[in-house]
Amino acid sequence: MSQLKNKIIVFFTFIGGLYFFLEYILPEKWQLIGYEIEFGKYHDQITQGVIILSLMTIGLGIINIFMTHGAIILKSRPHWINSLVLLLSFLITAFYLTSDFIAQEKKNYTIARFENLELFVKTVVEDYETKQSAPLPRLQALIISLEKERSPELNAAINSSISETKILMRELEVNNAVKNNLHSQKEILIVALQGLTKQVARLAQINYEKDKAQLVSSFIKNSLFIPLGSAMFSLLAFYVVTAAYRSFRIKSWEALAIMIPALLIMLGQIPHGPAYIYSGLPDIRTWLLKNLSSPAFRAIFFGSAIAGLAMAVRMWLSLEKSPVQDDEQDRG
Amino acid sequence: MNYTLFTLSWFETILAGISVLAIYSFLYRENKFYRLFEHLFIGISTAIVTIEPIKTFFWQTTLKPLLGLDRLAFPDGTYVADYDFNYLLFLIPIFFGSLYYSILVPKYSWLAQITIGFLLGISGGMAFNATMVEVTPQIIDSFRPLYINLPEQSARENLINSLNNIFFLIVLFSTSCYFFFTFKRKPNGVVEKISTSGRWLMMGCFGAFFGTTIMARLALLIERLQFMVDHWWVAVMALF
Repeated sequence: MSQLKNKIIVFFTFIGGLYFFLEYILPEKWQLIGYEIEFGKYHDQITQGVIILSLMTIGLGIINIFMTHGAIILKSRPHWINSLVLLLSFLITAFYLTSDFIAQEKKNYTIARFENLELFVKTVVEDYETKQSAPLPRLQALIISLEKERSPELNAAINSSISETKILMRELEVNNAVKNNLHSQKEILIVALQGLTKQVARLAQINYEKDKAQLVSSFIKNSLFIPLGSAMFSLLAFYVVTAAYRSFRIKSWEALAIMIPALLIMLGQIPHGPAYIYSGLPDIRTWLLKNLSSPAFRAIFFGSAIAGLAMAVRMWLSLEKSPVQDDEQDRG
Repeated sequence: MNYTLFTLSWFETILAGISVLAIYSFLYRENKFYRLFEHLFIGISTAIVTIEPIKTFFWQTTLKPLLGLDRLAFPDGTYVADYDFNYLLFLIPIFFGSLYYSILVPKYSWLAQITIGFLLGISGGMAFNATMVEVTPQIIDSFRPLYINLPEQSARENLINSLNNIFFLIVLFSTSCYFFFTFKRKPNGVVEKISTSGRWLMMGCFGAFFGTTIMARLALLIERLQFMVDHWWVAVMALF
């Protein structure tokens, strides 16, 4: 790789870390030649940008899976059926999760659209009072939009909302409408619209629960994802137990030092019952975790944190040799 | 629990039980049944891990506002709020992130290294804050009084708490000494002896970790076995 390309990469690496380093060391607000500088003003937006940048790798991961397992299937390598299962399960799950997400978004959009009507009525009355726009055509548009939503379940609520809208329109038609009458009618209409929104939300939820995509995606999660995940992790219990057998054989004093706390922790965690050995075991367990495990782990953590920080600085300043860089150099 | 045959919950329970059996079949030996379900799990979890951040973050906070889809229209065609053109700034990380994909074209693969380097730099810069946020409270908490004499506590409680704090600091100090390599230690010197005691205390710590891990895994195993006995077996028996 040419020197220039390397320099560009090093420059971007440095710039990437510089903001977060300065954001940490600089005070929130400070003066510079008479100007007040607020360094972390856009911190949330920048952090969001970083998350977006990280999320862009998702597609790369998917492409990699398809390239690896697609090649195995196409070349009919041994156990290609497993790769086929992997890709199919990925595609089916992704399809139904996406469909479920679209159904959820549709439901939320429908509810938000009706919730929005309350704000619309308030805006129309406010605009009328400040003489910004004529209210009657706007309320007529509200009636038209409500008429479009008619369905047997919503008929009553829509009728009530439309009739209250018409009363409000009559109030507005009267020149110099009495302010109190106008506001009380506005509140009545808002209550009617809130009732309509509740009904719409209930119906949208019922329709969503019946949605095929929602049913299939929750079926996949409940029948495969959750049981397979917990079975995988619990499988380790068997291996941990065999490891325990090996490590708990007291071959040295150090093995004894591992065994005694481990045994006390395990016995202390077992719920009380008729076969309980000693009632003070849970307290011993808590004491061990608080006064032995916690400080020892803390000391290890301090050491690793300092090492991690040193490593981070090396990475930021491009002092660490990149494995990716090596590949590139090997290719010439 | 009672199951009605061939309902959704019955199918769910039967398939969940088969999945558990497939995974546990590995205890006998590596087999095709296990491999198949292992790949099934990888496929499903990859899809979930991929879709979830897009669903909860990328769409909600980035794409939706960028495309102006978070603005609701009033019935008269006006909008609740004007389009915020600042959202167009999201195009910068999207464009910059798309450079990752140049890794697929050998000629331009170096462009991906810019983005990778940038992200590495960010993680390096973030490490200062992250480390200090985690380490500082723990350092502060480690400065514990060696002698406690609180009037609201009994003399016995004060004594126990003082001894606990002394022991805590001995463990912390001696374990830290074990990782202290700044100068050469003399054999049988004080530092060497403290670090040896630190090693012993670490063994105790590892034992405690090990015990906790075993119990956590066993809890998962017990939960799965309970599911097999209380739910799956009942669902299977509903067939007969």
